[in-house]
Amino acid sequence: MTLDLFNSSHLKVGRVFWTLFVFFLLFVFASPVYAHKVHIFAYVDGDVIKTESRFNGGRPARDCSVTVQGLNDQDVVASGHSDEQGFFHFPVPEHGGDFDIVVTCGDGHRGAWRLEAEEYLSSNVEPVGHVHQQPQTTTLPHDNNEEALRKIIGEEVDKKLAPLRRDLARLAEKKTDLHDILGGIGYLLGLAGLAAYMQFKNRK
Amino acid sequence: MHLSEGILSGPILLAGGVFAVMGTAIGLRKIDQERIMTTALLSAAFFVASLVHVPIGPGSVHLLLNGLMALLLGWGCFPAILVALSLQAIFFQFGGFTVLGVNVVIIAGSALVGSFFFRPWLGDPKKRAVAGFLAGFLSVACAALFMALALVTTDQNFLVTARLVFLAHLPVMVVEGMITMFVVSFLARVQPEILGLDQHKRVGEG
Repeated sequence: MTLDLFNSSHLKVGRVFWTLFVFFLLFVFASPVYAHKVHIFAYVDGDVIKTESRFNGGRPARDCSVTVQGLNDQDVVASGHSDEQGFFHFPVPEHGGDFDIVVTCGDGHRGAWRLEAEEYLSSNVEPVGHVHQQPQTTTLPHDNNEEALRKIIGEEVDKKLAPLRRDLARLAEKKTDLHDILGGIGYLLGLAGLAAYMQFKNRK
Repeated sequence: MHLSEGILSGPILLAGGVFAVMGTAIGLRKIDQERIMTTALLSAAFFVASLVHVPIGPGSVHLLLNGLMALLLGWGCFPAILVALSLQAIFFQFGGFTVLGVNVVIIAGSALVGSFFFRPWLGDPKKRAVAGFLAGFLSVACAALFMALALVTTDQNFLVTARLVFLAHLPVMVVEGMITMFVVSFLARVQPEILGLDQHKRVGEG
């Protein structure tokens, strides 16, 4: 749809071509919207933290390096590579704190997930140095039982919640939808209109 | 093909930004009134094409259409790709604003390499299809090479990275080559002005 096209005898064919070209890409290919950004998300499952790295559209990110780094002290708590399914597990960090879990694939893709202490400490074994429960001087059998029971219930609840947490984490991934695509195309056409207007004004 | 934020070092990001600005400045001067809509449409096609996932090969890769853009726009592909990449960063969270310059140089610069070699062949009807294929193929291959070069500054081994990126993009190179070949052949028939072909050549082609 260039301006010289209006003098062209190929007006119709050209216009049809360009329209088809854009719409072909838009609707045929983009309908199952795939992209290549890498996502990582993490959830607690018992005493391990599971991470899953995937590209948009669900393909697992294989053999990508995963690093777990403290938010405050920048200490690397755990690191390794994702397996064939994009999974990587590491034990729940003992000293608590917030973490950034970063996945880096060799070809320039990087994704991060922030894991906050309250997410994994809530029901787990008390972290060392954080014993702010009642002093355990009165070690009655009754108290011990209650403590053990709490622990068991906590673990069971964790186990049941793990799939839910995973699903929640998955939902946090922002999906590309048609609005984004149409919005972008709209911007581009708007810019073209603006540029055409400016040139038109300059020529006058 | 979009490098993510937080991977590259400062100097590389800066250099990418400087080259992207230079390329865009040259490109903007080349876009005259007749080219505006073509530029915008190709920019839109590029914007969407990144969502087209090529599900072959080891990596996660998508179409680029950069070879086609450079064949049709020349230096004009720099501003077109810059705008499209900015919009992708906003709408799709691909890449990011700090790496924008580097990504522009990787994609647009490599496309210019492809069109530098094969654009002259477009005038020859016999070589046209081959030129389209090779321009599309080489543009993606070069982009993979540039990307590996940009990643050298991280602690990764160049050969390992280059091999990884190149292999991941091999299917895309072939697909891009075919798309570029198809589009170029089609345009030569219905709208040769866009390719910058002279009228008499078209007549001669019969």
